[in-house]
Amino acid sequence: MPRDDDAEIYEKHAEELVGFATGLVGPSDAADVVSEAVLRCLRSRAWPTVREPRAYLYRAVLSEARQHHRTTMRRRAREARAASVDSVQAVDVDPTILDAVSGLSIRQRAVIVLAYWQDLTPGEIATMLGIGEGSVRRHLARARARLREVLHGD
Amino acid sequence: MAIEDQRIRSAVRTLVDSAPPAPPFPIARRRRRLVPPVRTVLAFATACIVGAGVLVVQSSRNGSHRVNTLAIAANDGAATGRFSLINLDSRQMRQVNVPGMGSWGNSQYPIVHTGSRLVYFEKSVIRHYPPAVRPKVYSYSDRFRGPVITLGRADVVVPSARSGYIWLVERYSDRFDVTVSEVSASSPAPHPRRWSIKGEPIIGIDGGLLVDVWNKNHDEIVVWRPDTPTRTLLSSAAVATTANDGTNSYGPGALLFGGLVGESAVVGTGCDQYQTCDELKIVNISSGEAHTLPRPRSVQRWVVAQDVSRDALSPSGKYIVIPVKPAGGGDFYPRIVVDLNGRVLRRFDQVAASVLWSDDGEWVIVQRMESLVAYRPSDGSTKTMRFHYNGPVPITLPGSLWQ
Repeated sequence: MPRDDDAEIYEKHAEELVGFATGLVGPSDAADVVSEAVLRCLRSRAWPTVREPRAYLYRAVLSEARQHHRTTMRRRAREARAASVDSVQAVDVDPTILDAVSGLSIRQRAVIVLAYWQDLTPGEIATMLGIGEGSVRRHLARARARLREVLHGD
Repeated sequence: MAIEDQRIRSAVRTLVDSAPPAPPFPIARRRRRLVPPVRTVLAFATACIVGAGVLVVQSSRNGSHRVNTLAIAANDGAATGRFSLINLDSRQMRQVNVPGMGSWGNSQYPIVHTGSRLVYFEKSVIRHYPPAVRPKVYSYSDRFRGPVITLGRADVVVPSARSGYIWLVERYSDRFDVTVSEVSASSPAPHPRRWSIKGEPIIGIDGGLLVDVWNKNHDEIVVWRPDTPTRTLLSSAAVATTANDGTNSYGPGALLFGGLVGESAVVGTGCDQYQTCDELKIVNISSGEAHTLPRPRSVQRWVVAQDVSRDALSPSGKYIVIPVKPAGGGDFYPRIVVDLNGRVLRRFDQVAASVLWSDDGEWVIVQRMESLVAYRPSDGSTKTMRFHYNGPVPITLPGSLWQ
């Protein structure tokens, strides 16, 4: 059975989830990713017993974003075989930033967004995403190096 | 190092600050079943038997998420008659030819799907205006094969309430009335019965037409049926239009039609010359009863423009999708999906063309510059397909036509 406070939990975290998704997939697809992720949570058998719904929702958004990213990459590769396609975001964002972020893996994006937007420590990020602290530090270091390179170059 | 960290922080925050508004709470209607459904078991068994063959197995969970709709999109403004037929379930696209189809210009119904036929205007070279003869109206199979049938000549076509039929409308430059005839799209009678009516036909209803009738004082939507007196459904003072020199003139447009499902017509009232309306009413065309849709706080005015709002009401009659002028400015006419209590379920910004309902009435199809988005209001789910905008999406067709 669904939890009684589903809607309440969603309302409480919706804004930050969309912000997080924006960091992962960009503003055009963020709302769709959050919708799909939340639906997936609500349909899962584990959802009624989840103790930390916020972290669970963050992980669901990350997972959906990875799925979305894979699908997008496959589609773009398919289209690129037929014709060159320019990627355009419907919302105005500095293209340098989009370029910089697009060079990161989805997990690196997640770690960077949580570290610089939510100011979480590596330990907190590890708990939130359900991965080891060492992995977080590794992703963070690689993402920082990549971003410094791109942002420094413009 | 600290300065570079600051740049990264600033870049990340700039990106996150561009986040769209949070979507409304999605409703989970179906929970995953513990026992695999029969279809999945059968499909798995078949896959095992086929073994060496290539078999695509679609699970029932994906099945529940099907859009069951094709969208037919113009490739290049219909100049070539080549269209993209888009399968929103498989995200596949193929080119189809609609023989002899011409550019639709300002036609309210550029292409009409009725019965198993597509109805559209011929491609003709207009050497002078007004043209010497009216363009031909063609009909072609929705399977995109077989001969093209000529239904007659007309200035405008209007969908009929009868499946497989279409209303042909002939206008006259020196008269206010028009001539209408209802013809079969697959086997038109050589000499269909014709009626002369006063006003501008809007859409077919059971046994007749909804017609916009106006003079300098009034704008009215009336129910017209052959051999019965016309009945006024809604009436309003004519809308004032201010010319560049400051002079006012009065004409139609105070009442704007936004779609018809069964007996329910969506009409914008209190509209101005910019096609934005004070109120949105759902009027029963038999009883004349009207329900005014409560205006959400985020909406300043409803936009009932003829080319973007003709499909406002969902086929289920439960939802409305419509462009709005948002309170406090913002995006240029975002589309919102609302229920009949005026609760906003979803807002779409940056919409490139008309928003349509899927053939089964479950999904809203939204075209953005880089994607087609299908949204199901009943549970909040979405499907997105990458598709570069290159013209309007004139109609949606049943997914079963994908062959």
